[in-house]
Amino acid sequence: MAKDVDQRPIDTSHNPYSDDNAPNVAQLSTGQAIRELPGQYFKVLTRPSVTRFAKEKGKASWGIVWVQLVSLAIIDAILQIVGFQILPPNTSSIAGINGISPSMLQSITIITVVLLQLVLTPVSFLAAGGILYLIARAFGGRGTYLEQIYTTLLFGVPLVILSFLLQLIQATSSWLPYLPHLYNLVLFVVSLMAVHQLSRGKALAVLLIPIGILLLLVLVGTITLTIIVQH
Amino acid sequence: MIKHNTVINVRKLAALDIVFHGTKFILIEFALAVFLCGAVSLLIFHGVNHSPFMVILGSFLLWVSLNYVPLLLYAISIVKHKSAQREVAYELEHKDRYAGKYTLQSIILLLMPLAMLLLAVYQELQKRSHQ
Repeated sequence: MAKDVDQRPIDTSHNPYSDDNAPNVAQLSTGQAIRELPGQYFKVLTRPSVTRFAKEKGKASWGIVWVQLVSLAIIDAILQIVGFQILPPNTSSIAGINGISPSMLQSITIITVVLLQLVLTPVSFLAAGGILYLIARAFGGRGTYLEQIYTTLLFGVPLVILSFLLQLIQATSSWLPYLPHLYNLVLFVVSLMAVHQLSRGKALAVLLIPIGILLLLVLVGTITLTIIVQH
Repeated sequence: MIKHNTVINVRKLAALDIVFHGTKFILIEFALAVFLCGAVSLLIFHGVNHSPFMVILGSFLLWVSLNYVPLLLYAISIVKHKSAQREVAYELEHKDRYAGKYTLQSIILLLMPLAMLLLAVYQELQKRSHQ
């Protein structure tokens, strides 16, 4: 008869599928790392696994992280401009205020959105990564912030660009751009398991806890605002 | 003869989790996922803010919660019968083949809307029709 598993001493913090002995890859020059990126994106997107991410995390460096973040911000900004060419921003409700013409207001809106895109893309990526990193550490994660950001970018960059491209298709722009983000979540959990050597449950918790907290904060905020307005 | 399916077996997934992480840990994990995620999502849907952002995130938590329901039920059944090791003996012997498959597919199925729940229902119906 099978031995009762209750009796077995089990280390719950260890991910049985992780590859602790993943080879440490020698640091590449930034130029070399850039040339290897398309291949890495392809491999991570088409054949994701804990072992794959464990191998990739050894190539992490701040140089290649910044190259990807800046490139992503520029590509997103360009796609945003293309999007505005297809569907110009609606500024009719505030046009005419202070004597600003609608075309001028439209240009100001586009420039502001593009500048915000350029700044907020890397800032939001690093800030969100920081919060998730702290939660992963709280769950016993052993990886570094750099490794986590680097592995996240390997699928984040192509999928965010894909999402922006899908946004350009007007007929399906209300739902289709969200599909790459769903796959993003799957790959994020796998990458957390590899980088921090977490179990699937803990990696999922790292993802779900901030979502739950965010939802509750918005809910509490809305209720508080409603009470204040009623009084 | 062992049939090599492309899609993972939900009951075996629960059994593997118990074998690797222990009964208590897995029961707590599955129960928390079902009840905590479910409670937060229900709070959102009963709340006053029904913006698309809130509805999307609320739905996400709800389907994660529902996807964990079959895992929780299977885990309870496996613990009751103390059959975890026995049910996945073949997979444990061939860990190299099944480890990656079960890891990736379980995450995909848990995060996709109702995927794990529907797969569990389908596999249960299949099993019963073969009995």
